[in-house]
Amino acid sequence: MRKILAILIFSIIFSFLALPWERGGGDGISICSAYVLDKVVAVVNDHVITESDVDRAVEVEKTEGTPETGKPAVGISASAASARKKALDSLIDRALLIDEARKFNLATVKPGEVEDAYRQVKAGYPDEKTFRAALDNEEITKSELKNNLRDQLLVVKYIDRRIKAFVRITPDEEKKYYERHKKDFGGKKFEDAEPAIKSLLTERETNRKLEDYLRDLKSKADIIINP
Amino acid sequence: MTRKKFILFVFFFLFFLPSLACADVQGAQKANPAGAQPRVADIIFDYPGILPSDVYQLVEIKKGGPLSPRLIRDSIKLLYLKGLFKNIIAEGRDTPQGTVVTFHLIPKMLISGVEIKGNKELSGGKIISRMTLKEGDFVDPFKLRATRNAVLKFYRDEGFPDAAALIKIKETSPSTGDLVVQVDEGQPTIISAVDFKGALALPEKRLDETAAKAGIKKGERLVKGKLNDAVTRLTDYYVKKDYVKADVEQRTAVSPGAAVVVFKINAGLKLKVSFKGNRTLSKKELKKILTFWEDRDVSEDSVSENLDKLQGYYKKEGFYFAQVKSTMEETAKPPVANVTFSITEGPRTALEHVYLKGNKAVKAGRIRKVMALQGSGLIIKERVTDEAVRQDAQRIKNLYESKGFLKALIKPEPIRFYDRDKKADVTFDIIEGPMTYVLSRNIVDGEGVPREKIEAAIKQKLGEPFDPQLIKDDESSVISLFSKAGYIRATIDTKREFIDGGRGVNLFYVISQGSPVKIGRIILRGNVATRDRTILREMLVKTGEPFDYEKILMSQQRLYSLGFFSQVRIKPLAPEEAGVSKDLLVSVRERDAGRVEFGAGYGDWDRIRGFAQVGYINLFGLGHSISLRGDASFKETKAIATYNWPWFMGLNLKYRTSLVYLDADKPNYHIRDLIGITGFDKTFGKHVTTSLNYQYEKIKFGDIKAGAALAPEDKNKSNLASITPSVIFDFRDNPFNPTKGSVHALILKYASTFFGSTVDMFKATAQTSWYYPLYKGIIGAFSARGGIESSFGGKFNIPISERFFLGGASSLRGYSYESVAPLDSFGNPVGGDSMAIFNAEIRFPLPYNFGLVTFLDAGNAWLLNKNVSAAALANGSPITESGSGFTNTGANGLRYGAGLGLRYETPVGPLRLDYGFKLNRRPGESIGELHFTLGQAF
Repeated sequence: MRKILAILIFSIIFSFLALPWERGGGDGISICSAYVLDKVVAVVNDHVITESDVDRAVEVEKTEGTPETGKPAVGISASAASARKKALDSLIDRALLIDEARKFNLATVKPGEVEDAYRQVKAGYPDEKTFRAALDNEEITKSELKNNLRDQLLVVKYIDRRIKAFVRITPDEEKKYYERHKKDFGGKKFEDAEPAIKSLLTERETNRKLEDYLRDLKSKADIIINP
Repeated sequence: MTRKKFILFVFFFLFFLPSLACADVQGAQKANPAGAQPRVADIIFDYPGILPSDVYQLVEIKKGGPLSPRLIRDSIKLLYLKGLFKNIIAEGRDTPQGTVVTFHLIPKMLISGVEIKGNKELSGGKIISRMTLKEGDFVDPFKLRATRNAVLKFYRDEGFPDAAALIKIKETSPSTGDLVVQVDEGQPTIISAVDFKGALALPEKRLDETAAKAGIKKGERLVKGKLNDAVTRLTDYYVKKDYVKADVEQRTAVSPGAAVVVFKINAGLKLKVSFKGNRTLSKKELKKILTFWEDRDVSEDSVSENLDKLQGYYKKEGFYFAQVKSTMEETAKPPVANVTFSITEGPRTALEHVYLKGNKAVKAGRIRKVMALQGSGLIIKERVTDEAVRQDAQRIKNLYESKGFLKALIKPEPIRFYDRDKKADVTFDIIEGPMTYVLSRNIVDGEGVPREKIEAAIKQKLGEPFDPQLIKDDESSVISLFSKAGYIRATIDTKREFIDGGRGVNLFYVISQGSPVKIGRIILRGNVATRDRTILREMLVKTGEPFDYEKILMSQQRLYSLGFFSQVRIKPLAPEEAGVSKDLLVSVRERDAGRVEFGAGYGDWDRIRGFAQVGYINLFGLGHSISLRGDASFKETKAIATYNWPWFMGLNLKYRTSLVYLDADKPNYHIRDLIGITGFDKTFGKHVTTSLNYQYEKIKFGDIKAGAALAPEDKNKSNLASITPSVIFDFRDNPFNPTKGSVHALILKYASTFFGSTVDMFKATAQTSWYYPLYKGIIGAFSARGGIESSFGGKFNIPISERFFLGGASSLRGYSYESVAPLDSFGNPVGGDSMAIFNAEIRFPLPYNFGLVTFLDAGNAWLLNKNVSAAALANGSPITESGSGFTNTGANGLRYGAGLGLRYETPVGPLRLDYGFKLNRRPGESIGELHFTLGQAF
């Protein structure tokens, strides 16, 4: 009998421990399993980045490329964790650049430019109904879309003025690149290939300088990443 | 049931019942129509503390409303703005009624105290002042690192290169903790020698003394700031000795515990400046104009710049024809630059006359008011330069434009010199041209503000001369109107249409108002000790009201004036985003609400006085305040306990209660008084303050001079219970030191046995003071005060402490404190039951925050009550005159005083030293009185 009683007590205690107790709240004990709807994953100065922001960025990266460069993401096949980390980094970079652009007022976006960008996005859809359905699907209003486009334009303009404007590619550098990659130009003369080389090298140098700049910004910013 | 079966049943029941319940829920959710949006069954906040009241308005989801990732995301972002939470996790749990959403609000750790340990050489206060994190901040890892780095940098700069610091948080509650900084200072670096190397040119002993003044000498700790200071001092020393290009740098060799400071110096060339031909202006005066020492440059360009400066200075001083030339010679050994300025001064010209020609519509007197050039007077000679003539021509043109003469031409004639160029006349030829009148004012668009309001805001009136300078003002006024109505993006462009050859103009005020913006949510951030409602009640804008910047700024000032916030910021969230409503984020940084104050002063009556006060100004987080104050002087001891309750019971009404103990020696009596005061203050707008108090006093007089005891209460204990309503209209620009405006006050006191008083009396005092700016900072100040009181029931029983006495620093300044009143036959003032006093001052500003005042005072106190004589007789006081029975002096009953005063400005009003002469002095009286106190007389 004592043995049975011991098993009974043990089983009661064990089963209570196994219940999914809920902390606090006035709703009593939950016996259903709870699930996370969303949470703060990072804070950059005053910008809050939530888990759902990262989810959306991962989706965007998969389909369109990184948020600030628009280039297809490298290593899409990498693990989900690394894709999330990359997406989070991109969101942090974007928040930092928006802050800097607003702080120094180097670049401004006119309402007309936002409207143009909005029209371009809309033109990608066959009709108004499909466009609205896409917005509803993404749970985004027209006004929010315009705000996002404005921020996007602001970042691009800021990079152009703060970084790209100071990038200088010398003819020597262009020539050296041409000599090293001559076969890639399919027998084109240097004079014919020069505009493409200049554009490529400028873009590379801009990206390099942007990385340095972001590294510097990160060292000074208040960035909190929640585990 | 067998035992085995029973055990199995219990196991099954306890383990699987929950799954069954959830299976039921899932079944219920599945039962919903396909694709239906989930609903919110309930919203729960999980927070280990008192939940801020405004979190409910920050969640975008509503009970019974739809649940979507976007709404949850937006809710989290808004909740985070509160600044109280380190993380926010939204959790869902499905029930048959929908999803129960729980926001787990994980608090940030608030620093409740700072503790510095292990510091010996450097004080805790200094270390704390360098720290990034302070008491009242929230802990975050970034700032913790920054704080540690700041502490280490401070130690290194102070000469402790090996210092180490460990920073940790000692939790005092789940959401608060003490910041503990454990310091290991290590060995300090001590200066073992100070050496000077290089081309010194100046004696090493002097250099050593200069470095020592900065604290760089043998045996001292090597402090970075002092080292930099020494370099600056040495450089300045060289420059002062004319080595303007001297180069001083420090090269310090540091070994463990010791440092040899080496200053490497290159004195460079020595500048020698000389002047030739300066007969009127001295070498010293001219040298002050030169900038070689300031610029530390003796190049040819620099010589040329200084030449221009000298030339300009001579012109400004009236030497219109002065010529200055320069030469520079350099020698290599010793390295010297000799700069010589050769001056031909010429005559010094005085501007005799300024003539205006061609002005018809504008009188010469009006034009001269805007001009700087006025012509010489008898004593002061005015000088003339081409630049001064040009500037005056522009001033005249501006004046004409403001009067509608848009095409006015002002042509200065060449300056006419005469009397061997010692005198000059200037003439301005004025061609007025046509006058432009405003023919019509047209407001285009802008329906958001009533047309009549816009028209009233525009100062440019119809039919009046057109003043282009008014356009900008009018545009600002109109934009301000729209902004107040919430049209924060409104713009205005005033178009002008000139007709009839410029004689008329039609004005078109084209307004683009945009969409109105209203205040959305008001989100409070950073208030930990302060309740939300304490902040919200000071906000002059509310949710749903127009977005009015002016009111937002005023709200910010009101929050600062509470005194317990060191920082208040109010900003719209996402200001760049268009929208019909803007959420406001009100961020505050709390400061210590405790107050400890000490002070000392000097007054001509009670001489040295001091006070100590302790208080707390944010009790219960509601802005209630409590204070205890003690005052002591040679004549008076006072203790006051005060409790203030702003927004009494949620009303815009301040409740105040005080308990005062007073023990004071007055000129004719001693008083011991215990006073309880309770009442309300109410302000109306910016200028009107009213109050209503109930006051209960237990008074005991002592040492009263025989003749001064008029009322039975003067020799006994008495209770005085009264109500005191008062109203103050204050239109001064600065209450401490007004320069314009006026202040008016009326204070009534009604004591009655009905309130518990042993005395029935009524007292009224009134004051009106006016301040006028007269000329260039000179202020005229005038004040009149009057008072009357009466006791009831046919007796004179007004206690001496309630009677009127004049004389003293803020009254009649030719007379000593409380000496002017009706006198008994012994010459003792007994106090009056009526008084009048008039003060007039002219306040002159002086340099260095000083001021000079001339003043004239007149006034007196009288006894009008017929029953006093009998009362006085009963007290054995001889009667000296018929009528009142007491001496009222002066032919017209007034006593006069006049004098001079010196002022020194301080943030709390001027320090004041006045000497007042008696103008109608009586035999035996002093010539006058000296007063020293703080604050203006009125």
